[in-house]
Amino acid sequence: MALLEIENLRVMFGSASRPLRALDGLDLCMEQGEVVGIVGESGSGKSTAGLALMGLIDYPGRVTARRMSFADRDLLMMPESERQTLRGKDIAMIFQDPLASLNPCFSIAYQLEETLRVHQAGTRAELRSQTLALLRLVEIPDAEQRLDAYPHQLSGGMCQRVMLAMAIACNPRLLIADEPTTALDVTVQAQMLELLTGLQKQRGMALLLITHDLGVVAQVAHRVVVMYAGQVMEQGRVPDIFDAPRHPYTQALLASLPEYNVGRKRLATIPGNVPSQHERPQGCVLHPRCSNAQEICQTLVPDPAEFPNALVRCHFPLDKTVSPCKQNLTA
Amino acid sequence: MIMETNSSQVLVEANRVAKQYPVAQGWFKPPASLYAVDGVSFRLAAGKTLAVVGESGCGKSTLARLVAMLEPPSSGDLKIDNIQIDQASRSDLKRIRPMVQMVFQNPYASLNPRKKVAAILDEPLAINTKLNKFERKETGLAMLAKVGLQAEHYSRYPHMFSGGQRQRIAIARALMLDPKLIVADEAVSALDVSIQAQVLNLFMDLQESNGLAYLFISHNLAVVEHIADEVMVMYLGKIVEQGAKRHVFDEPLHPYTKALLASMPRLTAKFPQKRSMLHGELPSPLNPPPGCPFSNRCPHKKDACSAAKPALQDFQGRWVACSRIAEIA
Amino acid sequence: MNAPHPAEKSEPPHPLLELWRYFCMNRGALAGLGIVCLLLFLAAFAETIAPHAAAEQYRDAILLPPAWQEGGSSRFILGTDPVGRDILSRLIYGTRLSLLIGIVSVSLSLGIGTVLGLLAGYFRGVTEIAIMRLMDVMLALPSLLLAVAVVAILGPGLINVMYAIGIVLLPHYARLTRAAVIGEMSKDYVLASRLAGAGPLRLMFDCVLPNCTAPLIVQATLGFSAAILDAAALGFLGLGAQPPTPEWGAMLASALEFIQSAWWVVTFPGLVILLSVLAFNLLGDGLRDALDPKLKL
Repeated sequence: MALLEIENLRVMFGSASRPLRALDGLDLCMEQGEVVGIVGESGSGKSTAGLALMGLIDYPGRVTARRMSFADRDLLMMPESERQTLRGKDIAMIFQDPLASLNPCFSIAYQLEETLRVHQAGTRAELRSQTLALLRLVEIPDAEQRLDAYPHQLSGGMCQRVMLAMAIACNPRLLIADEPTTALDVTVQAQMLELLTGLQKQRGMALLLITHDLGVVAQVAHRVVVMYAGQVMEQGRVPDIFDAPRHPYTQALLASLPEYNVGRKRLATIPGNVPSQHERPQGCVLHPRCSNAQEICQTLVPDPAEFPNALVRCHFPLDKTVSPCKQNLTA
Repeated sequence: MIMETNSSQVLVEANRVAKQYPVAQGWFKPPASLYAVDGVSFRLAAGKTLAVVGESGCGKSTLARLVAMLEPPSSGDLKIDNIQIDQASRSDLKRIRPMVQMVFQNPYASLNPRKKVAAILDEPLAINTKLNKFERKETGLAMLAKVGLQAEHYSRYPHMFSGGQRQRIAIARALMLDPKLIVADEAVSALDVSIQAQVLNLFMDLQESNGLAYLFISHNLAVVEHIADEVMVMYLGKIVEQGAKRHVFDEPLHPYTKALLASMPRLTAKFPQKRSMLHGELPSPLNPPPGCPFSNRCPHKKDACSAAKPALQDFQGRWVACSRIAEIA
Repeated sequence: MNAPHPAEKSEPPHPLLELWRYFCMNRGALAGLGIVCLLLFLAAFAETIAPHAAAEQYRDAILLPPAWQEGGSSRFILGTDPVGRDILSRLIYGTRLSLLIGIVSVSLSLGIGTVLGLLAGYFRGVTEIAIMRLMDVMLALPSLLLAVAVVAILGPGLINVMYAIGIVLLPHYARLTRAAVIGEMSKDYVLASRLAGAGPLRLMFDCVLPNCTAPLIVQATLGFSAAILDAAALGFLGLGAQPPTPEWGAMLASALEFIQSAWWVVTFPGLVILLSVLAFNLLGDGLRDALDPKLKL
């Protein structure tokens, strides 16, 4: 039984006459213990997907789906009170900017205890010792001294660990991480990712990692969903997608990374700009920038085409691509 | 202590440049000294790219401001076009001011929201040249074309552009005075991957056509690997390793450089990457560890490391600041 | 070959048009704007609209009640005051004065206050300390007392009232501008202008000041209402407009003794003051909402 089942998730803003499709059709199934990465540039709808799952999209956004269920419970029709018990306990989320996510007026122990208090009972002493254990779990040095520290007294990396501690405090089955390492230094990022994956394996959590960093996804995820301008371009297992991408966008995105252009003076680029939400083209949303675009791409949105271990939305998926990975593997 | 370069014209010469900020510590204690940049020396030749890498607090942004002459160094010599900055006359400063320009990190905050692109591009010329309005407009339009934008963008406001386009406008603005050096302070870090590639290509094209030198500040090692000629790795205000790009990337010597490169998430890695070798947090710049600033996180630390600050030494054709480098390498 | 980039849309709306659209979404603000426009209209065409001259006394119509009450006459719709002058006409002519007071005082305080704030925020250090402490001293004194003191020095009269109110409102603008300037100075585009060689004057007035206008505009419209109230208070105290000038506050002052017997002499000027202050406040609120970038969806 899949832990998370999403079919045709859409999030719309704006009015009927001027719709803004922040997210236009996401299908995803996640099993317990799996790590799925949602990758995309700005405006791709990846953060919106995470927020929609948590039920954090407020009016005027409208969330619709053919099916959105968590552990067999329907998330779409769930009343808000039930959703609230689910949040923090079974599904947790961490965000990009740790300093903005922690309340500057309260100590970190207070905020951690609050999370615990909401979802489980216990005396103050019990909660405090649990908090200490959590801080040790996320590898905060001198945890005992740091208990009563305020967020501004901690560095970005420390704050992000505290966020992680708050998220896993009640042992959630699914953790959604929205750009958790983007605001961190690269060495701290590496530590954070190790911590995240370690905890994920230890607790058998499912992890939905939302990021723009392909390298992070390649290191950490089992499966990946590549998004562009609100639509899914390609999804499948990480080794398959990165070794042999079938969608021109994935191929072009990988090809524009500096590490695939070693030895070349100019980087391969995707011409043009990401369309703004108001100006999404008809048909396949990539067609103005795609080198393979034909007439049908301008009018018809491609249906997902199934390949072994991959799902591709393209009228002309690439066949047996020479992946940039294989091209440029330097010794 | 200066890197030898054998190219034609040295544009920027820094010799033990330092920048110190006093930090108040209350009424009863004297202010503490924060050395944002300490003892940095390098030479940058025309048409070359020197990349400065490091994490937050390493002083690269402060160095950028020093080289861009936004702030004077507290000590050390900084020479731009052979003029010593702190001893320069007003007319000299006026002459070299247009030579060094800067492109900033946040494309959404580096353009004045109340000015049209026309006014933004017009300003440098209006201040520094005697061109008339028509000539300034012509130059502005030409510059827009050079950075890949269209003439119709000339009369728009910044909020009508995407991040990548704004960064192009910022680059156009920096080019208006025909500078010799552009300081790019995390200029592509805030851009999407595909746009990053476009802007990097633009940087490289401009370097070729205009003979520009770049001081390229970045924390993104993949980008640095692509664009740099020389690399300078900084930690807590000091240089830890400095040398030609290929040397530093292929055979990093300093433990910090090794850790930085190991932490880079790479797609091309065939095997799962080694566990990152760094533990602990960056120490506070107000209270650096005694001796080598990296000592509290270094896997090769010995007692001697805390005794004295390591000086930059010439090792295998590069400059490395590590007292144990001969044993570790 | 690549498909061409989609055709560029027609140019996005002018920022003033966008501002107007946001402004119109606020009903209260539109009402305020309407009333302000009415006041402007009345002030501009007072000669044509007012049924009588402001200072003309009708000895046969002293303290006549409003037209709808018994004893009232349709010649004097809102009644007459103790010396037989038509209240409606005086109110209409008084609009001119109140608006004039508002414009002069606000312009004075805005002009001087902004420059002081710019200097303080740009140069920091001793300049800032000197200017801001002076502003603090001015703010520490109750505004009305300060105005009274200034008028006492300069002598009673409407022009001096305008100066006094201008001085009293000065510190608010200085503080606002200084705070905005300090925020702006750290922005990248100011650095870019410095890199282009801009000197202090250009940086202050060309680069920084245009970005500080939003809070200043709001404060100015609210300052209008404060000016009208202060002028009315000073006029009430006898320090402002001297008779027979039809200034609203002075009209109130001369009519206090008639609250019980001739309520219309006091009520109508009071109502008009209330309405105009309310109108400017609503206008200022609406402008603040429309200019606030965070509210833009």
